[in-house]
Amino acid sequence: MLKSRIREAISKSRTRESIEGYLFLLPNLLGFLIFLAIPLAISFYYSFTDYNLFTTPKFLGLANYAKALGVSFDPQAYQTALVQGKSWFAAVGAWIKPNDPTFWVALRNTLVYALGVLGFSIIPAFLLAWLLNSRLRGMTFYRALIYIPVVASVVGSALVWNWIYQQQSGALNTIISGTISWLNKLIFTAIGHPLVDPYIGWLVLPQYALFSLILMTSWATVGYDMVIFLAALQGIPVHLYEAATVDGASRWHILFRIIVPLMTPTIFFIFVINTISSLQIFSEPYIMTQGGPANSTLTIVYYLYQKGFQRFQMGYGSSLAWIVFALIFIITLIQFRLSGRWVYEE
Amino acid sequence: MFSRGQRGELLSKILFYGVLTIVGLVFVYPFIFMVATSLKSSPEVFKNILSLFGERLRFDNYATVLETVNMGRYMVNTTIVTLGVVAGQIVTSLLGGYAFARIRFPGRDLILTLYLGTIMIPFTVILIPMYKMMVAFGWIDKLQSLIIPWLFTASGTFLMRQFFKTIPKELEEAAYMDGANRFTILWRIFVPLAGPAIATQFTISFLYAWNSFIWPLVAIQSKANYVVTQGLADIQGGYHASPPLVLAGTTLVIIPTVLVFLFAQKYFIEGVATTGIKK
Repeated sequence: MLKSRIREAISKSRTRESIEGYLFLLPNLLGFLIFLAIPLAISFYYSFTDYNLFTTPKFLGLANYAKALGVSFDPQAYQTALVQGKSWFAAVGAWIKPNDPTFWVALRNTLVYALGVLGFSIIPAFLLAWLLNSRLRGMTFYRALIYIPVVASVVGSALVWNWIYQQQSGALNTIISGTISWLNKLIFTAIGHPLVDPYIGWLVLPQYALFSLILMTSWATVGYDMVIFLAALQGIPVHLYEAATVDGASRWHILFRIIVPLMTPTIFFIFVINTISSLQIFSEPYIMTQGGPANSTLTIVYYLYQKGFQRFQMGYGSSLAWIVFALIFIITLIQFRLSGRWVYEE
Repeated sequence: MFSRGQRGELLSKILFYGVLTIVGLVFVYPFIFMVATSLKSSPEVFKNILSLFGERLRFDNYATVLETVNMGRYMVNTTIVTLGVVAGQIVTSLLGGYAFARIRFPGRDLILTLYLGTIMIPFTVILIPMYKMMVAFGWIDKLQSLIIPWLFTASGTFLMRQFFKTIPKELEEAAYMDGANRFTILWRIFVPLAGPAIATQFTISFLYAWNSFIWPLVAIQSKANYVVTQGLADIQGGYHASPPLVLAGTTLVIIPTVLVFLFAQKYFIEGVATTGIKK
């Protein structure tokens, strides 16, 4: 009798607890459902349709995906290219005809962007974290200086860099010109080989524009990577390298044989996070180059924006969005697979 | 005066600080350039872009940007949006974080995993249907389209959950015995202890809302409702596009984020380092 009463009381309080749990979670659950789950489902549906926002979506099956990813082959062009004496690679390039060449340009740019930012941010960030992991005074101050570009608005930073990169009178070219004329006065004119001012069009020449954007994004990424590295470095037990120091190991030996291997999980984390965000770059090219010159800075998300919101091809735009998602997913998966080979686990 | 060892140590210290100072200057130079240019006249900029000062400090550039280019209006709009998003994200993540940390209910761990998984979904995927949804709700070109959909945060909820898990259970048990309900416990016991977590979330939400660009670009059309990032893009493209004015506007947009960061630095950096939240 008593037992069943206790059981009843417990189950009553359990039910009550469950209800309370869901009540506390309700705002999040509703928000998630209305502003994520439902749009996600709709976006998936749109990606199989022809939809211009004003008429009802027309179902197309896989046509949007075929347009973006599909290619056709032109053997004639391959032969012609070979006859014209072009290289085999150029001939293969002529042989494969993408259905939407611009998509492939955007994809290539986006991948180069992601790789470039990884390269230009991870190594400086690691070295800076290594320097800042010191007991000397003022480390918080320097950490803050390097972190400020991370918190600043990307749009704002892009406008500042516009005037740094500007060709005629921008800060960077002024510094380069000044340095070169100083060096010429100092040595090179005297020895008869004056240096020529390269006068680079950082944002107006296709061969430099993407690189310039990569440099700027890296500047705004180093601080973040550095803070993550710094936390990981501070988590390495001191006795590990004290023992090595006592054994007479050199600084470099400690860095590459002890610290770097222990840091591989963090390096891996930074790889994944940076890749995910770089694949979604939009504001930088939008503000600084509008995707130009000659599409050299057109990224996939920018292309999606053009298709969806400037040409109102919302069905095609949605399929591009899902391709970005799939790309992020696949690259993250590959990184996880590869991580088994080089990430140290305890 | 110094022994050889002391002198070596001093030299390596000077070298160490020298390197850090040069690197630090490289990182902040664009902002020094920004503020310096914003206080010059256009001819002064083109005469010598690297000089830090013109003939005098032209604070009137700021007045021009606030009034003529309407940056004042955009700043008010952005402040409203940011306050709404920050307050909302803190409240929903406190509620959700408490539920995940302290209440037992069926499906809790599964829901948490799924919720965390949503962080992986790029916003771009829902950009088009969200636009369509705002049209359907009649929110297009209204500030609520920039606030209401963004009141929820999976990463913030997780941050609060992790923080609440570290609070000893004894603290709330006594209150529970006295018949306090969960809401009172959250408000009276957890929230006062959660200062560092709230400061972290405040900074993350603030930066996110203040700096957002692609969504306002899609959801807001008339200039009266622009946010600051749109305003900047607009000055850049407009006939006012002289470097001092563009960069005065940029300074107005960047300074608040830097101030918030510097004030909350201690908690925020720790939060970033432990959760990996990027923006």
